[in-house]
Amino acid sequence: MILIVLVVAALLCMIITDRLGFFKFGRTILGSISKKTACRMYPVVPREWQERTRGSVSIDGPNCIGCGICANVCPTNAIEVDKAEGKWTIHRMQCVQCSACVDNCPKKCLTMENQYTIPDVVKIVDTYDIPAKAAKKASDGAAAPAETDGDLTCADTCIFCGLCVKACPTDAITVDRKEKLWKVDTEACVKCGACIDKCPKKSLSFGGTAPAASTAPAAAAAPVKKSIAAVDEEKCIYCAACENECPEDAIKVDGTEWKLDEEKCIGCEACVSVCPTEAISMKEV
Amino acid sequence: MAKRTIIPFGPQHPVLPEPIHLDLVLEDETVVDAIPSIGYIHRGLEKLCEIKDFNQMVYVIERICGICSFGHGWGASASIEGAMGVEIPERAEYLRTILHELSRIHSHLLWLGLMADAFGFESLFNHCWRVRETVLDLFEKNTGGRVIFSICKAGGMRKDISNENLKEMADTLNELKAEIKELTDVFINDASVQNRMTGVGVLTKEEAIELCAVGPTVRGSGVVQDLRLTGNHGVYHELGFEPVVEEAGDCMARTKVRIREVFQSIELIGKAVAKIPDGPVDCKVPKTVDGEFAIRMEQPRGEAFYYAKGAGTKFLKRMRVRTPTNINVPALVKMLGGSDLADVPVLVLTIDPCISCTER
Repeated sequence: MILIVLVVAALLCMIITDRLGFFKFGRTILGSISKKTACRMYPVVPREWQERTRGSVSIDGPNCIGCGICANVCPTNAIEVDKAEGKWTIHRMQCVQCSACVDNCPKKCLTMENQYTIPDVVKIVDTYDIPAKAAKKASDGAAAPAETDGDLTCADTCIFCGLCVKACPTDAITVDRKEKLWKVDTEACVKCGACIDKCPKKSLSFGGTAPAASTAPAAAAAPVKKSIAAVDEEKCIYCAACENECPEDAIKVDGTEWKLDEEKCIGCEACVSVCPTEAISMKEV
Repeated sequence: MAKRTIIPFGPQHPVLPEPIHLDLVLEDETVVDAIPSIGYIHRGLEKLCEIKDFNQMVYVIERICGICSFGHGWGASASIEGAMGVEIPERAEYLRTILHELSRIHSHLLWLGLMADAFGFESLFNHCWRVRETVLDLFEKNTGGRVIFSICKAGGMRKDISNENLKEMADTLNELKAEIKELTDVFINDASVQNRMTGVGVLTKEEAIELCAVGPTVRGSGVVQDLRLTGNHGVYHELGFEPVVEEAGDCMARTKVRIREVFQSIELIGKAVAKIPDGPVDCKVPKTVDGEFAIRMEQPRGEAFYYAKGAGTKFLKRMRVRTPTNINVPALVKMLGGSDLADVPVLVLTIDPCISCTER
C-alpha cells in the first residue's frame, strides 16, 4: 500500500516538474529502471571480439624467414629481428597494434589476434625462434632441397615486365627493359619470395650459384609467340585496376571504354591477376 | 576597485579533462582576465618525421588525439598523397567521408556527456556515453579499433568495408536517432540546463570573426564557416551538405550546433552509403615523397590544417599540423572575461578543447 502511494507520488512529482520545465530527464530515468543494465557483467559475460579487432600480434614460426621487414615497418620499433641468432622479438608494451607488420609480412606468418595480451606488472618481451633452415629442410624431406638455398636468379623466359621490382619489399631488384637487364642486389634481397609469386612467366627462382649481379641471358631469345591482353566487355566494370597495375601503361580505361595499346603490351598478365571481375584473358597474336 | 585575486586553474582539476592551465584574475567572483598556458604534454611530433618514414608517420599522426584520430589519419594521408600527386579511388574517398562523419558523432556525443558532467548532471553524462558505446562498437566492427582505427594509409584505405556492413552501420545509426533525441531534448528543454548555458559566454559574430574562431564555436555565433562546404576533402559536395549555424553565440548555441550536427552526420552517412560506388579502395603510391601539399579539413572541433613536404626520400622533410583548439584559445579567453568563476569549467568545455591536439 505504502509502495503504491510512493510510486503515485513520484509520478505526480515528475509530471508537475516536467510541466514546469525541470526534470526533463525523469522519463528516461524511470524508463531505465525497468531496463537491463547497459554494462556487460564482465567477467561472467565475456567480451565478444569482432572479426577485425586488433588485439595482439602473434607469429607462426615455421614460415618465418627472418627477413626483418616487420621490424622496418613498425612505427614504434617494437619488433626486433636477429637473423644470425634466429630470434624474433616483440616488446609487447611498445606494440600499438597498428598491424603494419601483419600487412607487410611477405610470408604471411604474422597474424593479428583478436585477444589482447594479458595485463601484467612488468613490460613483457616475447622472443620466438626463427626455424633454422636445416631443420626446415629435414622436415620437408627431398621435396625442395635447393629451393631457398641460393641467390635469386632469373631464367631466360624473362620478359622484363618489372612486376618483380614492384613486388620486392626491399627494392633489391632493378629491371631495365630497354637494355634487357635484370639485376638483383643480393645484399638487400631478403629471400622472401614475393617476386617469385608475382612473376607471370615463372622465370624467378632461388636457383643457387648466380653471380652477384646476374644479367638474364634472355636478350637475344625473345619469345616467338606473343600474347596480349583482351577484355570481356560484359564482365568489365571499368574500375581501372588493370590500368594502375600495367607496368607498361598499355591499358587506358576511360569511362566505359577499355583500350589496349597492342604495341606496348608485353604479355605479362599483370592485368589478369588484378581484375576483380576476371574480365581479362590472354589471347595469342 | 575591488581587490584582485589570481586563482590558478588546472592542469589538474576535477571538472577539466584537459591539461590546460589558466591563471584566472578575479574581482570578487567575476573573472576579469584569463591567462592560458600550455606545455604539459608536448610530444615533439613534427621532429619525429626525421626518423619515421611517411607510412609510419600516418600511424604517428593518427595518435595525436583519441577523439578525432580518424581525421588526423585522413589529413596526414591526404597531405602525403597530395605531395606525391596521387589520386585515390572514389570508393576510398567515400569510405573516409563515412568514417569521418561517424567519428564526428562519436566526438559530439562524448562532448555532450562531458558538458553534462561539467554542469553537474552526472546521469545525463552516463547516458550520453552509453549511446556513444554503440558508435564505438560500429568502429570496432568495421575498422578493428575502437579509438585508434589505423585504417587510413597514404594511397587509400587499408581495408575495404563491405556494402552490407555499411548498410548495417546506417541502419544502426538510424535506430540510434530516437535515443539521441531523447537525450538532446534534455539539453535543449531542461530549465536547469538552460540556467547554466543560456546567455553564458556570449561570443558575438564580429568577435568570432576577429578572433578567427573555427568549428562549432564560430558556427554558434552565426558565421557560416565549414570546410566541408568549401574544402576539397571528402565527397561532401556530392552529398548536398548544408552547414549548421546558430545565431545566439552563447554556450547554448554552441551546444545546439553540435546536437544538430550529430543528426546531420547520421543523414550524411545514410546518403553516402546509398551512393557509394564499387571499386578498389587503394592505389599504388611511389616509394618516395617529393613535392609539397597542404590540406585544410573540418574536424569535429573545427578546421585543421596539414602540410607535408618531401625531399625525394621516404622521409618527410616537414610535417606540420595545426589543430582547431589551438585557434579557439583566443576566443575562449575572450569568453572568460566577465564570466562568473562557477561558469569557467562550462566555458572551457564549450570550445571542445583538446590540448593533446594543440601541443602535438
